[in-house]
Amino acid sequence: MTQNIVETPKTSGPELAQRAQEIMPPVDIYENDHELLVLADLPRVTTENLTVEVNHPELKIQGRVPSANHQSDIVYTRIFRLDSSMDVAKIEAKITEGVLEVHLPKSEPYRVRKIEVTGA
Amino acid sequence: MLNIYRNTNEWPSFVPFALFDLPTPGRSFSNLRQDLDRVFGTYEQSLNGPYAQTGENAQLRDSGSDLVVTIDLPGVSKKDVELTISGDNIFIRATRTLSPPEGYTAHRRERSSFKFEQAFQLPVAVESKTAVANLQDGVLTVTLPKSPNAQPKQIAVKAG
Repeated sequence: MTQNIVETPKTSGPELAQRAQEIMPPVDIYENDHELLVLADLPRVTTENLTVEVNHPELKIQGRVPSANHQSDIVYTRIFRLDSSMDVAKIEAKITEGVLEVHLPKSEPYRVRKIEVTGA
Repeated sequence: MLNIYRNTNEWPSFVPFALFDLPTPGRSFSNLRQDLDRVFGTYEQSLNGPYAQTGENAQLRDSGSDLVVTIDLPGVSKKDVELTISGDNIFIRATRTLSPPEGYTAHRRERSSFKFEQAFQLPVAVESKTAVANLQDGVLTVTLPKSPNAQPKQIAVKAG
């Protein structure tokens, strides 16, 4: 497991005190030379009810599904701890078909670069 | 909108089981919902492993004139959903095939591919012709208008 993103156990915030069912959504984490890619299943979550927040070093993903039929809301939460290799200002997120995609670009010094070797 | 197959001759070769017991007086929709949850429980385990909890993957709601079935299918596109309705039977098949994005190495894979297939019997007959299915925000919503006989109606009580 890479050390540049590590999960943090979450503690319930006061905002969750009201009736809400907390769920840990399943998450995939991928990496290439340029970025980390986090995918999370968040069915029923719309952009208005979704927050992706970086409060260095924490990346917090939280989506709320308002209750239907007088049941409690559903709150999906995952929190990860990022190391300093990510360029926080360039993080991008989008949600399609209930799947959230968070792109975390690596900052320049941490990108993999091929150095061309020239002969004498 | 999704394609809804109504041709009962192409009914898949499975034994539809009665999800709901025979109507008993006082049997409420919360029971029905529990039944539905139980049916979808195995699907949820395969979908979410230890992560998500049971309860909200599938819901059956009675809006009076319609039955509304909703199922969480994140990452499923509509071409991968098949729906067959016949009388009070409904068959739903959905598949999700995940593969790592090209050029990436996986560090964590909790999301999984799945093939979801379920047939069940609705508590009342529905009008398949006017049924509507919609896939949005990773949720399949099937709205099934009840057949005329099953529509709620008020009976005027005459004074003797």
